[in-house]
Amino acid sequence: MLIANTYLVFLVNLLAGVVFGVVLYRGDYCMAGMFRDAFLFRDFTLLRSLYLLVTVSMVLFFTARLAGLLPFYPPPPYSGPSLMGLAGGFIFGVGMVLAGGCVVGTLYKMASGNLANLIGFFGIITGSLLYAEIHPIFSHLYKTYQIGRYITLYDLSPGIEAAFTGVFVLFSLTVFLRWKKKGIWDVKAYAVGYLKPWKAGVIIALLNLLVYILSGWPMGITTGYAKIGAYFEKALWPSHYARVLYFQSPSVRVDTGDVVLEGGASARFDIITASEVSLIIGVILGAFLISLFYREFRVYGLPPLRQTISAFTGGMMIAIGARVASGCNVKFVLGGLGILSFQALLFVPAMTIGAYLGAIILKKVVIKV
Amino acid sequence: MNRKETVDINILGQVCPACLLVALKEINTHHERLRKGEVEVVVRTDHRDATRTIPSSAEAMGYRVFVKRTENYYEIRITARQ
Repeated sequence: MLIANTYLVFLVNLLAGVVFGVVLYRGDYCMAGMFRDAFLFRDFTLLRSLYLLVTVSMVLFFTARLAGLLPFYPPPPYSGPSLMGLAGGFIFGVGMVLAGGCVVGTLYKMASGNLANLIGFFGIITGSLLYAEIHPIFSHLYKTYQIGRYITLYDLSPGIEAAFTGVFVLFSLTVFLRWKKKGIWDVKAYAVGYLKPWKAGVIIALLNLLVYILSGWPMGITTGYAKIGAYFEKALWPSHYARVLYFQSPSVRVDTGDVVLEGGASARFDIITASEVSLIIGVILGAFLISLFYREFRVYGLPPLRQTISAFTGGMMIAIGARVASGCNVKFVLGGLGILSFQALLFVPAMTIGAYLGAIILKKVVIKV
Repeated sequence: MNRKETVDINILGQVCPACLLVALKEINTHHERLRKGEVEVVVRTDHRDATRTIPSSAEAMGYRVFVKRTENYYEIRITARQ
């Protein structure tokens, strides 16, 4: 089912992005908030739906692989685990809380007129450009601390993977049913057009499967940010742009025999434009349109200075963390946990610890309550 | 009914978790007068998730909460339970 035409891949991801943006906006489905509020307020409401999302993804990816629907397995942008996943995940976790949104949260919030998140967005672009300067060092470190060549549990052992998936899904199902009995899924909010978190989780899991089947691998987004930065740098400082190695080397390359899919952060149209920049544009477009539809779009002016600094710094940390770990929460939480990628299993716990530190900094230093 | 004093909190356009943190702080600061019905806390926010978190936290603390959608944001009014 793989679409070999790059322009069609762009269209598929753009449309997926629009739906993603609408769902994120309607459910105010903020992944940075989920982790932060679990620490700050012991509020696990949204985190529970993320657990559901991951479990549904696991079932969908597993079934789709058995049915032969997945064009590539493991997905080409994934690599063997490296301890840099821990470092990157930690930096990313702190960053997303300080920025008030992760790599997609930032998009749907800025699209409805929030300037703090727009600043976070520019922070992510700036961080990506900074990373590009030091890419050779971190690329080397990634390889030095690579702790295995197996990408997913399936690569290591299909038997263990099947057994683990079965046990995990059955266990989770009993948890979910218990929550249903207690009425925990029935979350109430007064916002117009509110989408319950469990629905948001299930829709996002389905969307990610669709993207995987049609465009080759599950959703990713942060190289797209680097690419947007590359366009800026190429326009403003072309001589320097041409010297930056990160922009010259592709981050993903697949040769199916019939087609070669190749792309990276460089300032030209390639598979990363088609799969990631398209998603960025789609999420912004979807959230913008739905916020207009609900008559909630509004620009309020800049937040207090400490929040502005926090948003920009957080954005930079998001970008650097994602590049150091070779992926973000969209790649590793929405996709990586579902396919049981070892790098995701390093990234996500480290991101959680980072979010804990971020929550403390936010409370004590930024908002000061 | 006596006219209540209103503590107006405007968190429009601020970075995300400010809403609940600031709301909880104000509730705690004024909790005695809030409980007596002398004062009410009104939070103005554009964060959709705050229409979930603030009411559920304030209700759990024993207050009554009213949420009103105004032009393009939400007004969350926290008062004593009658």
